[in-house]
Amino acid sequence: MRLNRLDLIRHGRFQDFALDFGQAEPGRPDVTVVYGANEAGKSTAFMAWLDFLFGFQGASPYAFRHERRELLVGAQIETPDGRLDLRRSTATAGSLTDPNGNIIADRRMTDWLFGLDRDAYRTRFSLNDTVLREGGKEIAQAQGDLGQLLHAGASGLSGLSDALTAIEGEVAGFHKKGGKKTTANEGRNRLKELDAELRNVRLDPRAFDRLAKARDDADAAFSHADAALADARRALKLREAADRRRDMARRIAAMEAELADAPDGPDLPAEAVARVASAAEKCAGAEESLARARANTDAATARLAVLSEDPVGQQVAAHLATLDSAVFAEGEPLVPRVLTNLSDLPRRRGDLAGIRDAMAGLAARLTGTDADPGPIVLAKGTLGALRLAADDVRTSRAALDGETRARLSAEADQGERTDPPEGLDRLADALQLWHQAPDPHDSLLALEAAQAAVAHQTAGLPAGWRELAEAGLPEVAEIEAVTEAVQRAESDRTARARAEQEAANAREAALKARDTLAGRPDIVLDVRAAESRARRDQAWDAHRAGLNAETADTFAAAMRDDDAIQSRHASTAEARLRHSASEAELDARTTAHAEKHAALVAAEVAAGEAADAAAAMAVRLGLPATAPVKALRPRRDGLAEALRAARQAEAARDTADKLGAERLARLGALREALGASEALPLDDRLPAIAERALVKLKDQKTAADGWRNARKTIDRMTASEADAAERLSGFQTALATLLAGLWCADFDAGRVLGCLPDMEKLAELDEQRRQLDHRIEAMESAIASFEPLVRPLRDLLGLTDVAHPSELLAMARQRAAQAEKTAQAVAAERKQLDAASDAGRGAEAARAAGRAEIARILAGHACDAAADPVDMVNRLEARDRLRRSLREARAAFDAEGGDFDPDALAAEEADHDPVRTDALREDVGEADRQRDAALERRSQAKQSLETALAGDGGTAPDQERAALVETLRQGGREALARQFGLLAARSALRRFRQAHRGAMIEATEQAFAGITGGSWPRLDIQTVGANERLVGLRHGEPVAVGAMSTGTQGQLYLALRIAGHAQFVAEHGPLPFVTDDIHETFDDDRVGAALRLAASMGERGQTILFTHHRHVVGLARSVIPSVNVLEIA
Amino acid sequence: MRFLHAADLHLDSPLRSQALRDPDRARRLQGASRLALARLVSAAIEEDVAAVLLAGDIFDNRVGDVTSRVALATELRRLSRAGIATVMIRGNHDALLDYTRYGPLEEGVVILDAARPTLHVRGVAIHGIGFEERHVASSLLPRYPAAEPGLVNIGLMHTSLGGAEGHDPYAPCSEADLLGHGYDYWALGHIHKRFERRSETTLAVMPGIPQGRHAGETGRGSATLVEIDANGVRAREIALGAVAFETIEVDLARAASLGERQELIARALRSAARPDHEIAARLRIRGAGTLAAKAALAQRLAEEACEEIEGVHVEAVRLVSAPERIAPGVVAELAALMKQDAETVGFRDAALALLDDWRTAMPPDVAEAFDPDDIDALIAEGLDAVIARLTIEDEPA
Repeated sequence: MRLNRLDLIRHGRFQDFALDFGQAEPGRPDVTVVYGANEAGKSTAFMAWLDFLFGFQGASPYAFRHERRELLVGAQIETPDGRLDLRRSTATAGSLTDPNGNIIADRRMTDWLFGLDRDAYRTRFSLNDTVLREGGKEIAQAQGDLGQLLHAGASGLSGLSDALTAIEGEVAGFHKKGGKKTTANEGRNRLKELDAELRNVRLDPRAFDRLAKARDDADAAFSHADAALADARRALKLREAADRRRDMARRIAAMEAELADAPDGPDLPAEAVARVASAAEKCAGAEESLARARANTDAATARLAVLSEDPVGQQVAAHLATLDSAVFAEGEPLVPRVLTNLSDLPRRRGDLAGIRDAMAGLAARLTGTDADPGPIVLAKGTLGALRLAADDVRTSRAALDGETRARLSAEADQGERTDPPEGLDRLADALQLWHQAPDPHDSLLALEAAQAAVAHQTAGLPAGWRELAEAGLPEVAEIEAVTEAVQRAESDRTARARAEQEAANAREAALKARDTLAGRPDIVLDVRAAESRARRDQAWDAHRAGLNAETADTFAAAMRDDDAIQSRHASTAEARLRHSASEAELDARTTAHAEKHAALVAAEVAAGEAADAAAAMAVRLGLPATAPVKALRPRRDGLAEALRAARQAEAARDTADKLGAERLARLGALREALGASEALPLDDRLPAIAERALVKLKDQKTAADGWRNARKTIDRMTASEADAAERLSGFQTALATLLAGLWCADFDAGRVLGCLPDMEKLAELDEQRRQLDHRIEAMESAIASFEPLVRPLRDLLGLTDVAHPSELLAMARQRAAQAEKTAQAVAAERKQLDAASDAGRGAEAARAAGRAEIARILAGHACDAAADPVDMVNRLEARDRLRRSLREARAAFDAEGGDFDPDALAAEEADHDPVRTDALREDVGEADRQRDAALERRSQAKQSLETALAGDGGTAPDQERAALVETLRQGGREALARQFGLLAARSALRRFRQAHRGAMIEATEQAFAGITGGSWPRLDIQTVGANERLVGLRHGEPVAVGAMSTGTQGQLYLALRIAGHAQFVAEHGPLPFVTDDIHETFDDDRVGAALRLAASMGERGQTILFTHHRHVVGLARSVIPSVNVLEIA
Repeated sequence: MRFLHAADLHLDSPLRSQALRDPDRARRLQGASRLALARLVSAAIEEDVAAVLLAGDIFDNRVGDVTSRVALATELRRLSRAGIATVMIRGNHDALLDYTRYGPLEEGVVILDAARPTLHVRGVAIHGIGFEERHVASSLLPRYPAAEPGLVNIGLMHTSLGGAEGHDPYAPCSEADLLGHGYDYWALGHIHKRFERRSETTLAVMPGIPQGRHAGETGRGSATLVEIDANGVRAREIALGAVAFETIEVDLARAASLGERQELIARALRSAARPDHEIAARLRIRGAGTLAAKAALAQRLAEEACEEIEGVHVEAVRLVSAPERIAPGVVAELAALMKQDAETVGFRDAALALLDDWRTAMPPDVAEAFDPDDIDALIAEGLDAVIARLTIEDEPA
C-alpha cells in the first residue's frame, strides 16, 4: 500500500485540507518530510492517517471544531486493487466509503494491511516518540511480535513454548501411559465399578433363567408334598368315619327299643302342642267374659229407670241457636252489635252537634257574615286545583322578573363587535400535513444500511455480477447435482484407478509367480515328458530297424534320458499343478486387469463430462472454468444475496426519493397557505414562520368568536323573557277560570293562597259530619231488626216486652243448658246397655271355636274326654321327637359312609385297634409339615423371581455409565486432537527457531551502527537467569539498554523498527512507514544517519516523517536530494 | 379408523450426554425411554385407536435387563384394559421378546412372525414378519402375504430400506418394491430419523425413535397417528420425547466482553426453550475470540447462562476454534509450518500410531471414538485448537 494523498476534510482544526504526497518515482527513495510548526496540526494529521486506516475510536480528541459525528478523513491510496479514493466517517457501520458513498468492506482494508490491527501497525509502522520508546522496551524484553523475532533463538518464543507445555499438561491430565490420576484412568476405574454394580442390579437373562428354574423346581416339590398330605388325610378320614359309624349303630338300637312303648297313631301336625294349649286358654277366657256381660246389662237398665228429659228447654236452645247465627249488614253477628249500639247511640249524637257548630264558625270567618256553611264548603279536588293554579301564577311572575334582570346585565357586558380572520383553516391544514409528513431520516438510514449490505455482499464478486445474477441463477439443486456428479465421478474415478492399479499389481504378481515356476529347471512339464517319450520311441524304432551298436547306444541314451525325465516328471507332479494354477491365475488376472482398465477409461470419460458440466456452471456464475466445484454454491448464494441486497437498496433509494419529493410538496402547500410570497423560504425554516402566523390568526378568531357568542346569548335571553311573560298570562287565565261561579270569584292568587287553610279545614269538618250521620243511621237500623227475632223466646219463657234484651238472653241460655245435660245422660246409659249385650254373644262364640280346634288336632288318637287335652298332646309330641331322632341317626350313619370304598370302610369298622386312629393322625401331621415346608420354598422362589422382576433394573448406574463414557469419548477425542496439534507445533517451533535465529539481531545491529555512526558496532543477546536481554557492545564491553543515554536508547529502538520493517516488507510487502518527531533526542549527526536509513527504507516502501524542526527539513534535503517536503501552515 | 405406530423404543437405553453426569439431572432423565412409552400408551387411549403398531427394536440388546420387559408389560396392560390391541414384530434388538424363554407379555399383545404373519383387527389386515435372528441380510418383503382384496392392508416391517447413514443394513428393501406391494400403509422401523414415503396408493412411514438418546438423534421423538377412512390414509406426528437433543449455533463475534458473550449464549438458549419438553442443547460457538482456547470457561459460562432458563440444559459446548485470519507474525508463520508438517506422510503415520496407542489404552466403549478413519478430522481439529491457543498466548495482556 502507498499513501498518495491524505484528505483532512473535517478533522481537528482542519477543514478541507489535503497533504499530497504525489506519486512514487521509480529508482528514487520514496521519502516525504512533512514540516509543521508547533500547533500546526502535524500530530492531528499523523493521527488522522491511523483513523483513516482503522476507523475512529471512542470519543475523539480531534472533535473540537467539528462534532464527532461530522469528523471525516479521506485518502488516495495505491492498493493491490488499484488506486482508490476513500473516505472514513464516524459511522458505527460502513464507515469506509468511496466518494459516491458506496461502502467498502473493512476486510478489504485488513487485506491491504496484511492483517495488521491498529496496535500492531502502530508498533511497526507508525511511531511517535512515546510509541518508539515504550514499544522498543517491549521488543528488547522479548515481548510482542518483533520481540519474539529478535529473541527467536530462546526466550522470545518462551511464551509460546510455555503455552505448548500447558497444553501438554492438559493432554497428560487426560491420558498418560502409566498415569494413575489421569481422567482416563479414573474413568476406567469408575466404569469397572459401574459394571460391577450393573451386574448386581440388572436382571440379565441368565439370572432370570436361574430364578425361573428355582421357581419351577419348588413348584414341583410342593405338588408332590401336597399329594402326600392328601393321601394321609384320606386314610385318617376313613378311619374316623368307621369310628363314628360304630357309635351311631349303638345309639340307633337304643332308640328303637324306647319307641316300642309309645302310643300308636300318626305324627302330630305342626305346632300341635302350642295350638292345643292356645285353644284351651281361649275357652277359659270366653267363660269369664260371658259372666261380665250379663252383670253390666242389669246395672244399665236400673239407671235408665230414674232419668226424665225437658222438651221446652230443648226448643229454647233451638231458638237461641237461630238468634246467635243471625247477622247484620256486612255479615257482622247481630246479637253483640245490638247490645253495643244500645249503649253507644247517645254519645254519637252529641259528637254530631259539636261538628256542626265548628263549621258555622269557619263559614263566618271566610265570608264575614253568618252564612250557611253548605255553599261555602268546596270539594277537595277544587281546593287542590286552586292551590296549584295560584302557585303557578306566583312562580311564573318571579321567573319573569329574573329573566329581565339577566338580559339587562348581559347587554351591559357585551362590548364592541370583532370580525373573524381569513385563511386560518387553510394554514392549519397545511401545517398539519407538514407535521404528518414522514421523517426522511429513517429512510436515509435504511438506504445507508442497504447500500452497506450491497457493498458487503458484492465484495469479492466480479464486475459484471449484476448481469450474471439477473440473467438467471441456476437452482441450488442444479448446482448440487453438478457438484455431486463431479464428486461422485471423481470418487468413482479414484476408486477405479485404485482398482485398476490393484488389478495391474495382481497381474504383475501372477506373471512373476508363473515365470518363477516356469523357470525352475527341476520341474518337468507334461510337454517335455511327452517329447522325451517320443524321442525314446523314435530311437527304439531306429534301433529295431538298424539293430547295430550305434542305434543301440542311441536308444540306450534316449531311454536313460527318458527314464530320468519321467522320474522327475513323476516327482514334480505337485509343482506342475502349481504351474498350471499360476497360468490360470495369470489369465484371470490379465482379464481382470483389462476389465478394470476399461472401467477406469469409462470413469475418466465420465469425470471429464462432469468436470465440463461444472466448468460450464462456473462460467455461468462468473467463476473461472477451473474453479473447484465447492466454489459454485457459495458463488451462487453470493450472487443471489447480492442481487437481493441491490434490489433492496434500489427500493430504499426509491423510498427515500419519494419521501423527499413529498416533503417538498408539503412545504409548497405551506407557502401557498401563507400567501405564496416568494420572500418566504421554501425550506425547514418555513414551518416555524407558519406556526407563528397561525398563532396570530387563532388569537383573532378567538376574539371574534367571543363577541358572536355573547350576541347569541343575549338573543337567547330575550326569547326566554318573552316566554316567561307568556307563561304568567296563561296561569292567570287558568286561575280565573277555576274561580268563576264560586263564592270567592273575585279573589286574586294571593288572597286565594291566604284563605286556602280555612277552606281546607271547613271541607274536612264537612266530611266528618257526613260520616257520623251515616253511622247513627246504621245503629238505629240494627236495633230495629233485633226485636222480631227475640219474640218467640219471650213467649216460651213467659217474659214481658219490657224486659231488657240482655236479661232475656241470660234466662234463655240457662234453660237450654239444663235440658241438654239431661238428654246426654239418657243417651250414655242406652249405649252401655247395647255394649253389654254384644259382649255376651262374642264370648259364647269364642268358647265354641276353642273346643272345635282341640278336637281337630287330636283326631285319630284314642282320647279320654275327661282328660286334660294339654297333657295328652304333650305325650304324643314326646313320641314324635323320638321317631325323628331315629330317622336322623339312620341318615347320619349312611352319610358317614360317604364316598368311601364300602369294603375298605367295612374293614376299618371291623378293625378295633385302639391306637390305629392316633397313628393315622400323626401321619397327617407329618405330611402337613412337609407340605408347609415345600410351600414356603415355593413361595420364596416365586418371591425371589418377582422381586427381581419388580426391581428398577440398572437404569441409574447405566445412565451414569453412559454419561461417563460420553465424557471420556469427547474428552479423549479433544485431548488426542490437541496431542496431534502439539506434535505439529513442537516440530514447527524447532524449524522456526532454526530459520530465524540471529537474522533479526543482525539487521538491527546494522541499522544501529549506521545511526550511531559506528559508535555501537555490535549487539548481543545475554542470558540473565531464565530471561534474556539485549545489550549493545561498545569498545568490546556489553552495555545494557537501560544504561544507554536517552538518545541512544531511542536510536536503538528505531534500529529495531527498521530491522522489523525490512523483515515485514520482505515477507509481505510495503506499507507506509510514518513517524512523528522521533528525532527529538538525536544530535544532528545521528539525525542525518537516521535520515539515510529512512532513504534506504524509502527504497523498499513509502516513508513519511513529520517534524517541527526546520533543520531536520534541511538535513533531509541534503541527505536525500529527491526528498518530497510538505508544509502545514 | 385410527392406529398409533411407533418403533425403535430401545427401552431403558441410556442417554449419551456428558450433562447427565449431574446426578439430579440424571435422576430426572434416566427413565426418558420409559416415559416416552408411557406417553405412547396414554396417547393411544386418548386417541381411541384400534391398535398400537410397534415395528421392532422395542428393547436394546446393549441393556439386556428382564425388568425392561416387565416395564413394557405394565404399560401394555393399560392398553389391553382399554380394549386396544398391541401388534408388534421383532427387530434386531428384541431378544427379550422370546415367549418361550420369558413367557407371554400381556393379554391382547400379538407378535407377528413367519408362522403367523397376519392379524385382523376390526376389518383391517395387519401383516408382519419379525426378525428370527440377530441379523437379516436379505429382504423380507417376498415373504410378506399379498394384500387381501376388499380390506385395508397394513404392513409392519423392520428394515434399513436402501440404507441409511449410521444404521447397519438390516433386511434391506427398495422403497419402490415396498410401495408397490399393494398394502395401504407400511409401518416401518429401524431408522431413527422420521420420514414418509408416498405413492398414489400407499403411505410408508418410518416414525423415528420416540426418545432420542444422543446429539446425533436430534429433535423431539414421536409416534405416528394413522387415520384410515374413505378419503385414504393420513398420518400425523404425536410428540412423545421428554427431552430433545438440539444443536444451537451461536456467533459471539459481535460481543465485546465476557458478559456480552454470556448474554448472547443465554439469548440463543432462551430461544430454544420449549414449554412441553426439555432441551439438551449442544452449543456450537463461533467467533469466540480468546474464549475459543478456554473450553472449561466456555462450558461454565454456558451453564451459568442456562441456570435461569426453564427446561434447557447444556449438553456440550463445541468451540469452532479455527481463527479466521492470523495477523502476520510468529504465530502465523508457526501455523503455516504446522499445516505443512501435518500434510506429510510421516506426520500422518506418527498420528496414526499415536491414535492406535490411545485406542489400546482406553476402555472398549471409549476406544470406539478413536476411529482411524477420523484421523484427518482429528488432526485438523487439533491444529486449530493449538493455533488458537498460541494466538491468544501471543496477544498482549
